[in-house]
Amino acid sequence: MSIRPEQPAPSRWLPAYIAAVVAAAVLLGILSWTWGRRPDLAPLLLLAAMGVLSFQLREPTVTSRIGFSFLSIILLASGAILGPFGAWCVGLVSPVIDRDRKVHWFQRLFNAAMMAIIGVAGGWAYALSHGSEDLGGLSGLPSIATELGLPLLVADIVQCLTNALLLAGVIHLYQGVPFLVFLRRVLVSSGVAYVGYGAIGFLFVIVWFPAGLGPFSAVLILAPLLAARWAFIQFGDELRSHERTVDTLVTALATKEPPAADRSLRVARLAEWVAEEMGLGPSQIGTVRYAAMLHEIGHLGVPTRLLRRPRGSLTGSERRVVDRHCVLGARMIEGIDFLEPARSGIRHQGERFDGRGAPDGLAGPAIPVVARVLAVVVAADDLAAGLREGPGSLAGHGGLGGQGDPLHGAAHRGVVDELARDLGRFDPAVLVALRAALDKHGLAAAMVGVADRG
Amino acid sequence: MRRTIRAESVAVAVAAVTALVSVFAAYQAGDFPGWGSDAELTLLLVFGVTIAVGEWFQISAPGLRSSAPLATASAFGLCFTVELPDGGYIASGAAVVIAVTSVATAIGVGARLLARHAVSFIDVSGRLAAVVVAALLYRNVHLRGTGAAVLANDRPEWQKAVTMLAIAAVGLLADVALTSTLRALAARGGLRRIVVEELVSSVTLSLAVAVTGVLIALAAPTLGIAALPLFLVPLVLTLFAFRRYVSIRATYLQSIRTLSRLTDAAGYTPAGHSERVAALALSIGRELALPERELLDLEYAALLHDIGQVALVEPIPGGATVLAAPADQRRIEADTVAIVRETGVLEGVARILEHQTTPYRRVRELGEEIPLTSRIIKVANAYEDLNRGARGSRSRDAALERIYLGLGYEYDPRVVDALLRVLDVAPHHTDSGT
Repeated sequence: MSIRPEQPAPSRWLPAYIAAVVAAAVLLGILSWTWGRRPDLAPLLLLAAMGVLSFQLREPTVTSRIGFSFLSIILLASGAILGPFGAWCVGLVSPVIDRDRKVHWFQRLFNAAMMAIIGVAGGWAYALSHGSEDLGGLSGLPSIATELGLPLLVADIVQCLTNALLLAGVIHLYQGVPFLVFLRRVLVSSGVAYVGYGAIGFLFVIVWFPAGLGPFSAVLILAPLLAARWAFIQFGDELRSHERTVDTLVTALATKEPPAADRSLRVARLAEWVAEEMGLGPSQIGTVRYAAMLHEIGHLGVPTRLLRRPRGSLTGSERRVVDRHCVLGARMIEGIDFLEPARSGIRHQGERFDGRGAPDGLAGPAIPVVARVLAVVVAADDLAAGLREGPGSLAGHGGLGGQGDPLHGAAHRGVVDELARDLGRFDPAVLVALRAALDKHGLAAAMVGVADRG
Repeated sequence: MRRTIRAESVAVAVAAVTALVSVFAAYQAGDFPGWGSDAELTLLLVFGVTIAVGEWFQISAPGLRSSAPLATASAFGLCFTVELPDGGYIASGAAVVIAVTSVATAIGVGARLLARHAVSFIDVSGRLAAVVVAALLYRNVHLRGTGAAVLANDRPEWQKAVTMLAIAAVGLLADVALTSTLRALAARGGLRRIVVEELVSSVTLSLAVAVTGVLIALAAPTLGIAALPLFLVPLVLTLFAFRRYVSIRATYLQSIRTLSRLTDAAGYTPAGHSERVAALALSIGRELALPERELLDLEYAALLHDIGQVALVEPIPGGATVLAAPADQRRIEADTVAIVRETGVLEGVARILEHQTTPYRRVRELGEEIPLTSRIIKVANAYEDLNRGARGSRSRDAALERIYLGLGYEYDPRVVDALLRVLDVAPHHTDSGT
């Protein structure tokens, strides 16, 4: 796993963090050279070449923020074959040569330092759990299991944790994702796979030494490695197919109602923040995001002339037609398996916490949590959009980011207070989470749409 | 249909004869390990069970031949495993390997049949053929029967690996040769095209399978039978990923269905319009003998052809695009294409939809290239719009009359002829002049 460029909004601690990681990598390298095993040159070169190859072949995005390569498998094998210092070298060399020009130098530096640390960690974990150094002398299942298999498993888990911790740190500073939320997301989404694919590293070592195939095993092991890569591509593609499907539906809606695209994006981002603050699990955060992206999809079934008029000018019956969009929307996306959990959220977004809402009059915890989040987030987005287009922009200030901007400072407190004034409508726990999320990210960031980003 | 059944029964016969002959030959040669040799017996048993279980976990997807990677890899492993730890070895000839494999395969396939899972006997017989060829080449030709087995083993490990890989490759080619011949028997298609399709759709997985088999055999001298489950682990992980691959296809299919229903749900088109256009377009496409892959794109394009209508402020009466002004038709078309492109995987479908309203005369007069599939959609949509799903012969004739008016100008005469054949109407001979 390694970081990839994506809309940077870095914290000022980021350079310090990267410098610390690089310093740690250098220090660990020196320590390993002094106390660890010295690797032979030929296998070192071969493994470094495989490392470079695997990093080149990495699959860009597993989730939108993590890239996966089978470098981790090579690093694991290096720890056993070469020792800590050898693994350090392989980790350091692999990410430096990179054909992707979009990767900044500091990302390259960080990736190299991170991979070196992962390699060292695996190498020491292997050595400290009594992994054999005389691999060629191993024979028979019992000795291979205890002197190679078990130490490699320990090293694998240590590597996985090291990787997740270092990544969560940098993503936290780089994009403001809460540290623990990201850590949990990485470990849940790819932790098991990371450790599981370590098995290939184990097989690699077996074929090389106990089976006596020598360096030629590097050629043979490529087949399982490529199979693993294909598997990870499928994992990424599955997520991408979901994103694409949702995007397509939003595009269909935006063809009818152009402002809906921006609104979906803003509401989805805010909903994700709130869900993170509430401590929901990774899959539930995903559901909340999809539901938020599609919360207005039912507008496709509402006459355009009603959608174009301001809500205040609608008669009671017209308003009911517009409000039925929740039910319509939930029905429209029926039959898409991965959106099944999001459907109830879309259907019940108009419910009130006190049970006097539509369409089913559910109350309290009977309302799906996705719907409770949606209700709050949509209302907050409405209010904030009103603020932006309201007095602030009329007064002719310098637009977003200026001193007199209505969205800056404590404006978000006003929004949350306004929502809380509507007693019984919203889930108080979600309001608390909204306040925390806006305290952290600011209202202005929440209201940036595609158009503003240019 | 009947040809397919014949090919399947030929495949079953081939597999059954293989099983019987190999069991008989092994028995004749006295190769089966006696009850005394426990280690060898256990080994054959474990391989047999793994092959049977591997047959159960078959994978298949539309456009991909079904395969059983775990079973084939284990069978290759059995082919090539000669040495065992502590100086033991399997000296038996090819017949034993083939007998164990074919009996285990029969058990696995039988279990699938009992559980009413799909089984392609053509692919099963292909897998057996690969093992038969590999086993004969390695054990009887390369190792010259039983006696030389141990003597031939003093060469470096990597040379052995290369030999095994080459033999496994020959086996896999035999697999493709057999299945393509049987398929050519079933369909009228040319043998060469089928061979190429089979090769392309199986080469990556086959490579991983062959290498796994070789790795099992190479690790057996140190690990013994434990090599089998250990080296199957990467393939098992790949099987899980394959499930995912299938679910991705399913997601796209589901979202296409949902998108195609959006205009119905929003009241822009009459209920079921896209499905009817899709069914009609598919029949016309089959009538014009389009290849399978184009038919799939045609179906998706027909399902999605009206999605751009969601941008209209007021629905067109009856959702009939054929009645809208040409400029409006083109705007709907552009919106449709933009939405379909957003999926990122339906480029072929988007290209079809880009030309769904272009009149046929642009092909004749300006030499513009309009895909046949687009012309099919244009005709199918026009017929559906004009006919409005009615079944009576009067509304059908009225709709056809309107289409005749645009023959050669709006509509491709070849496609309209195919439409008539699909609707089972006597052809209306007007294309002599066009």
